[in-house]
Amino acid sequence: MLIKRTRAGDDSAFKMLVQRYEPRVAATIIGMLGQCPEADDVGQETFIRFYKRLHQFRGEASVATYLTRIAMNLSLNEIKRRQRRLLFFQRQSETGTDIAKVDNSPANNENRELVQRALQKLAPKFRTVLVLRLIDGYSTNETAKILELPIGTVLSRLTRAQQKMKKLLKAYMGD
Amino acid sequence: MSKKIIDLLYRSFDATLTDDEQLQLKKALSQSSDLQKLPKQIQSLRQTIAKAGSFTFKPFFAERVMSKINVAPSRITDVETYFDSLFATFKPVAIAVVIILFSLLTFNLTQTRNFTLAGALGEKKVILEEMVDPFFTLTMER
Repeated sequence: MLIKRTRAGDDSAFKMLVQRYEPRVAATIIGMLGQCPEADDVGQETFIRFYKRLHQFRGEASVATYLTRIAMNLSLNEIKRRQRRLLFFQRQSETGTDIAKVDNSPANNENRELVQRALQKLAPKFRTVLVLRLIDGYSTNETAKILELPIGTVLSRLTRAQQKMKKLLKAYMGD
Repeated sequence: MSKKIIDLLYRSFDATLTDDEQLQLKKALSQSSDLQKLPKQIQSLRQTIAKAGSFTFKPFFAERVMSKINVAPSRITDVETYFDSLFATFKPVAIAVVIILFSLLTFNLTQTRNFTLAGALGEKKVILEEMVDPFFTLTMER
């Protein structure tokens, strides 16, 4: 309905759509990039791209899946850009804090920050599956479709990603 | 704990295991008390990660997106128009250059009958007689 109205030129419908899907897109992008100023820019770009491609959207995938795919691709581009910048300037990553040294307070925000930092330490290929499957809540099949990967690859990456996360969060989880 | 069994255990959270795999896992779980702790740990880890996922962007996100969308089309049209006109201007020139180059290469190949890159570029094969002046050589020998 909102898509139809936007196509008919009703911008307020698209604004409602942005508000509706913001949390999901934010979860994907912040899961991939961490809480940083670039995350907001990538979020905006995701919706702008969706707006421009509205004529291509046939409704085969759900709006959420379509947006997640755009958000994931843009996040991966941003990660590549970051890596190039890091290589060029040879500086330490801002998220380079050792997970084990972070305060283990049970406060919810701190837990979130801790998980965020641990996620940033994973290689993008592991981070993508974990964000889509555990944070966004997509099924294994949907994750495989979004990432255009075989299910077997998704499953093995999920296993390795969780094992790595377990190691990173070991001090916090108390094993 | 065998790596295969641990991997199976992790996989059981995301996929349906075959009967054989389920049997293997069940057997391994019944034999190891360390392994019995692992499903709880994995579940706890997964919950911790999932809970970390409620995010939002900075306030007034939708408004910022909409203001960009309302500004973007004119800019994009300008850029597109610029490249379109650039492409339209140089397209005939580029086609003409390609045709001329192709004709030259074909001409060279037919003239030299040397079907190599050198032939296509019109480089003639140099023979010994052309390198050495026979009259001069005979004079020198005398």
